[in-house]
Amino acid sequence: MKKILKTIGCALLAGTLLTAACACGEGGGEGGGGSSSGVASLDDGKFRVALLINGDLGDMSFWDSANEGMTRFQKDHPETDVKIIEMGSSDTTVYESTLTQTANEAYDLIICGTVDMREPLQRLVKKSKYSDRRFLIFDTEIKDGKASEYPSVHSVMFNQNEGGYLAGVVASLLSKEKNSPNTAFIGGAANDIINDFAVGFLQGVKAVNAEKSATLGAYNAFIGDFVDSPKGKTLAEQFYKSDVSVLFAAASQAGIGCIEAAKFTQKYIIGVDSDQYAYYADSAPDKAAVIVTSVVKKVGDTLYEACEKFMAGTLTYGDLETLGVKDGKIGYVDNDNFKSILSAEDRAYVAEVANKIASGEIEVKSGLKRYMSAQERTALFDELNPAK
Amino acid sequence: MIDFLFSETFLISSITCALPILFAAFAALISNRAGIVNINIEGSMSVAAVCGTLVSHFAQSWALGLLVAVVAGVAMSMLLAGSSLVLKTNSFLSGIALNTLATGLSVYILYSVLGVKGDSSAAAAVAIPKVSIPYLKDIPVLGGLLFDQSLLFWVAILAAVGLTVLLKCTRLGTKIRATGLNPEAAASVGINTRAVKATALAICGVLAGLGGAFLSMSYLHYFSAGMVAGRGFIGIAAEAMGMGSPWLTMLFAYLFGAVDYFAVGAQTVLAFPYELLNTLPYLMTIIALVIYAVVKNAREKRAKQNNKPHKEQQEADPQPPELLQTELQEKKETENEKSVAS
Repeated sequence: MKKILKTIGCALLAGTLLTAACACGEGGGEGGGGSSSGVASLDDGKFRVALLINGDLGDMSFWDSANEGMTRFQKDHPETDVKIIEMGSSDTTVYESTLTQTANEAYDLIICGTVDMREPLQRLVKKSKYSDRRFLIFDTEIKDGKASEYPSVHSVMFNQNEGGYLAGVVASLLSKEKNSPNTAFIGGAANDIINDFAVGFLQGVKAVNAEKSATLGAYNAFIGDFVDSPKGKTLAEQFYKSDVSVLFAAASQAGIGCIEAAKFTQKYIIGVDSDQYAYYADSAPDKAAVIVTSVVKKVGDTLYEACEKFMAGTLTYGDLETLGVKDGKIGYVDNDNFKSILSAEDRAYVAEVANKIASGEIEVKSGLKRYMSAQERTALFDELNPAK
Repeated sequence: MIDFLFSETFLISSITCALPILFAAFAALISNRAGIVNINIEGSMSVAAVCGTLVSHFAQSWALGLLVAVVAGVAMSMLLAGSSLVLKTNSFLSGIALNTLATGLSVYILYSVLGVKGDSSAAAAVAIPKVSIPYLKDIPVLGGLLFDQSLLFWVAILAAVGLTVLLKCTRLGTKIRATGLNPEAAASVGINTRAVKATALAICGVLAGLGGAFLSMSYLHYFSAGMVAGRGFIGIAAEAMGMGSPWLTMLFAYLFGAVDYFAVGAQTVLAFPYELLNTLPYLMTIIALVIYAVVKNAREKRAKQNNKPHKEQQEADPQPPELLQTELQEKKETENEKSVAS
């Protein structure tokens, strides 16, 4: 019996160590003069900022972008102290304790993101001992519609529906050029953010249908998670083999399977979050060639600017900031591949749509659940779906 | 909808979805027949997948990649063999620990080689070739089904034949079955049950390695963290439903593959909530396991009835507590082995 326990113990320990080894971020700088018990004082005149990553670096999109922005900030502002803490995606139970630990240390600004960090942060900032700390949460609002209840937290959200809209326009224009009757949206799982992308995409297709008197349909499908890339490939292949020649996949890692499908069938795909063409341009040119453009969400730039605002004392709290095309935080990539695939006329059209979104002339409906009911969303999904 | 179910695409894509499940199921089959529950197939597959694809990329050779994937699969199995056969741990518990290890280890390998933690898509592997036979592959349905398949499709067919022959017609097979059915009885006739179990686990590792290689070197040409996505476990369920027969296991693995593909493909032909479609493979797994449990209970009941006189005799002896009993068994086993050795 002892032996059994011993071996299990060893195996588990080895596993934990390895996982922990992977989870070590390469954050710059020291944690500051904090101690694990009690709350460290902030009056040392040095700006310290921590970014908590509740996911894995190396996703080539969301988290890498955040990491890049903060690393750049550290480089441009050597007098500050930036700490990046990678908490991993496998164990959500460490999020709250890491957040508390970080708040105990001498960080002036603590940045975290996504809906998973909302509740831990809500609980933390209610404690008076952290009242001198400032927080930023991105890609969600600290509490839906109630940012003002949290006077030390700045919330940032992105209008991914506008990005989806641009993807929809590009997909429709290219589908028309290729004489395909349908286009498609593939999501990871149907969460709030992905639904927002989808709702924007479908509105983009509808707009092109209306303006260019086309009758394009748009499938929508979900992989079920963000990691099953073989399934992503199967799904995309299914569409490409029927009557789709351009699709938009917002599925993180699983979406890379969709790119693989596009490569094999020689069809087109629109990337998401970061410029996926640039990522593959050198290492896998055949994969890069099928990526028409990518809808980018500039998380890194957003964090960089927020830190600068903090230093200048102009960052506001207890409020929600929504960033989109007009702020240059959501957009599409106009690169060589885009130029070689899409006609000049269509490119001009896309640029015009982007300008109209920025100026407010085109208003893209949000797919977030607080703005759109499930019925309304389903109706929109079904309206263009050729499978219906 | 009906058209979709009976289409050529459905048939062929289901086979593609079934292949990794099939390898996992075969892996489970051979270890189960030897009486070891290996739930680490999932982990073995992911470690094999990452090793295979990376070697294939850097050596620019799919054969070398495949070999390394298989070796990695065997190595993971040997870890289980080491802990459960040598150190006598509970194979189920060490399997859980090894799965946890594999999750981190696969990403660790990826990170230490490429410096990324998500996927190796920027370092595409040299793919395992397809076996395309000219002219024959243009035959409708059958052509796509048989004559334009991944090499690993044929390896899977071979594995089914091989496993049947191994279990039914060879000495090793007889030893494996004997060990699985009753290790004490097997040991009493001079079978080194530990060696037999280790051999079965090695074969299990080879098969799991092939499954991992199929995902990262044939269907996709890169590894991404979490890409095995439960296929190893579904394979175990398919094996359970197949009740130890390679051909039945193959049938159920195909069925699981078909359900898996249906969950994906149906989204393109009918607007049905995907959440419900996605539960189908798991729902089927649960149904499979219930059927398995019922059949197993019925079998055990029958076996008990057949063994009644023997049983009564045993009951006459005072029963030691369960833990002690296993320890006693282990002692007996070692004694037996000693006596065989001497």
